Amino acid sequence: MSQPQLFTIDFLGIGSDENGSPQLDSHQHLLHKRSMQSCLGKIKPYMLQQVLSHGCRSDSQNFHSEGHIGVCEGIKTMDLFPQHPLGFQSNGKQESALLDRKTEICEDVTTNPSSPQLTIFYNGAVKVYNDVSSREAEAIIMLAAANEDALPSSTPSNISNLLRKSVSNPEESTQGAKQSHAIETSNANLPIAKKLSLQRFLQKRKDRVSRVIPYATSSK
Amino acid sequence: MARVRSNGLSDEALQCVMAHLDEPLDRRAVSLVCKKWYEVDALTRKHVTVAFCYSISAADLTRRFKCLESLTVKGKPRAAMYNLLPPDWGGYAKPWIEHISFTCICLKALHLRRMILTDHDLGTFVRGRGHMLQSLKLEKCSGFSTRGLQDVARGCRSLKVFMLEESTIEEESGEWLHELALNNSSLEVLNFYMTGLEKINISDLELIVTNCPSLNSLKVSECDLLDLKNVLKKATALEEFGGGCFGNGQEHDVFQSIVFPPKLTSLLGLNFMAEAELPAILPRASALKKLDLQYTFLSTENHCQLVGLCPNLEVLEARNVIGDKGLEAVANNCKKLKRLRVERGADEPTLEDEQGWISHKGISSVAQGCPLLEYIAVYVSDMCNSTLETVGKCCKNLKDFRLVLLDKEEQITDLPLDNGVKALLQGCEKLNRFAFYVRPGGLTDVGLSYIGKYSTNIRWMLLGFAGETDLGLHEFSRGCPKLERLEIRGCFFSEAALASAVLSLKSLKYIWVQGYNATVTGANLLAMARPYWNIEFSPGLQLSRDLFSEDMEGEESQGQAAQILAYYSLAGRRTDHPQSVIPLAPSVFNWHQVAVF
Repeated sequence: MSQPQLFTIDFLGIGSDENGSPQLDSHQHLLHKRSMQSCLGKIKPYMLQQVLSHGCRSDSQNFHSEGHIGVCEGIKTMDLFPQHPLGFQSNGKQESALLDRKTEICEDVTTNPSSPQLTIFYNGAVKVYNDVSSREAEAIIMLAAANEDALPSSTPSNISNLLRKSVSNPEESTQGAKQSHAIETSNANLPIAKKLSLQRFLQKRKDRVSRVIPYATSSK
Repeated sequence: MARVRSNGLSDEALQCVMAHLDEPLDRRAVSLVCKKWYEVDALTRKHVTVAFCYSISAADLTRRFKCLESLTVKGKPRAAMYNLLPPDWGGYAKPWIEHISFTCICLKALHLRRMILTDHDLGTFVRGRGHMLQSLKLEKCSGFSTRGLQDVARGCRSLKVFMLEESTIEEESGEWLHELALNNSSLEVLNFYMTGLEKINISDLELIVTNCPSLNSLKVSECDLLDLKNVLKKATALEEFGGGCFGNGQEHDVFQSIVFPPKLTSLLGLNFMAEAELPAILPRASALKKLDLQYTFLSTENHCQLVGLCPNLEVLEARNVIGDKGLEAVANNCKKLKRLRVERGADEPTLEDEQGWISHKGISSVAQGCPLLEYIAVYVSDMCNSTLETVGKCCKNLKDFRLVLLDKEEQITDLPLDNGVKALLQGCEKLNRFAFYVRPGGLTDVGLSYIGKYSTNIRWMLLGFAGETDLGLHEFSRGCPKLERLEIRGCFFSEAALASAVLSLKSLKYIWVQGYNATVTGANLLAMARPYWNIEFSPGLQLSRDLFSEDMEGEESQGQAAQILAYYSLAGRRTDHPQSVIPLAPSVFNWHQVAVF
């Protein structure tokens, strides 16, 4: 089973320099962040697929080396496409190992304070973005995968909207108290669902009663 | 192991023997013995139920079972019945109909549940199978109109069962019923209950009951019962009647002239029936085996009075207006009761002063009074552990138990219900379906682990606000050895924990979750990625609104919280999903798929 893979792939070896600092200054960085949205919309799915499958193969050796090419600091491994062995059953050890790894990942993200970068290489141009959280990076990759079937006209707006949403959500899932509060508020908006057939009957009853006694108050 | 000498068993003999096997689990076991037995099973299998239409492709199914006589296909998840899915979620019948119409030359019966099909699909099916179709059931389906029904009426003259219950049908005319009346004399079951069809010509119904002497079940939409007087008089073989409604502002004693057929044992619908109209059904009460009062306007007292006159009742459905008092009456009088369903009533107090609600007291009475109970589904306002223990002790025949604790009352007698659930599961050994929908604090992690430990035979489960943390889910997933389908709503589990639980549950084929610790993109769910396992993620409504505001119909779908749907599939990734559903796996980046590329 392969090691968890990173999702920055540097074909030409012209990514970040040894210290991991961006090649572009902050002014250009802002411009590039905006244009990222339109760029993503234009990536052909087949091309992205090629890029990622190539990256999966080549990066397993690079991961642990010192001055590793194509690895950006601060982005920890995200096991987005785990390759499970071909049985449907998993024994206890494997799942707990999986669970452990996940916790490890969450912890690593919180303890690393340096600015994580996302580097995209497309059509000969290099774009590096600072302060891209793992959630945002996941969002970008998920969108690219998910929008492969979508119409070209709808893709750019979808992506920019989803990005806006994911960027605006802070890292709440790693903080216990915040997490349970967020869940409580969202679960509070989850009333016990009513069966449609019953809903229709109760509505009809309301209508019928108001027809018979139209001016009565609703509560006794 | 000594090899049994069955060499003398010819193919014909094997076929004869297998033809007597109807149970799906037996059939599954038999088809795994060896290749020969697999082939004979494929040739002799008469009926297949596809529990989820995306788990297999129509082509694959029809290729394997060439001699199918009856097929049932279910589409949308159960959540669709509670308005939790967008109307275009999926479950299209078209690929199924295209394959079975001209390939399954033995097909006599088709049952589609929660699927979308068009008039064109109906037309195709009628052209292919109409000449020998005996049963067509389109239950909770949508996408077609009365024109499609006309095709069915004209093309399927040997139809015995025609069921459209709760389907959403575009009504252009009542012509379909007229065609049915003219073309058919073999109908046994006619059901257009809860379809909202209004252009029904009563004389067509009268013609049908006259022409079809075998008609034993008639369930209609909300036709005025007074208009149905003649229909009911002529349908002498009728055993089951459902639907109809009691009009507003009528002189009440007018309903006394309605005479229900003599062999009637099953009464449903009776929309808006109030106390004054009770005399219409009282003459038949003692013979009744099935009674549905969910859509009546009866009070608690009325319920008590009515069930007191039904000693032969086997199935009872009512709203919680029946009250603990009504349930006591049931416990005292309906000793043969097998199925009990008590639905929730309106939330706000109405002009009819509906004060009914049921609690642990009513459930205890019924559990002790009705030992034959096999199915209990109740919406309670209060519960305690000892009642669940009583159910476990008394209801030894229970196969299906569903409890929902309503959220109106702040104080509940006895929470958490850990020990009660444990006792119930230990006591009811035959239980294979279980729903437990409570509130935060209703079931702790310990309680959830009990469910895991003691659900030895449970195949379907719905959990609402059960457990507290990921640890509870982890313990739960170590048990439930036979759990095949799981639905979870309103919980605190993380995506990673859910993914891990899915991998632990040995028999799990299908899982639906709404209201959990969702991430924006559902990325952590990919921890459960594995071959043939589809994962679909629907981001929360707020997010969907931003993305697809021009497509959403606002109040239509209540799917506010994110949803996960994951299931085993031999058909690969869905391609007909709406924009609000994002298939996460199998991904195009799946290593196996890339290799194939």
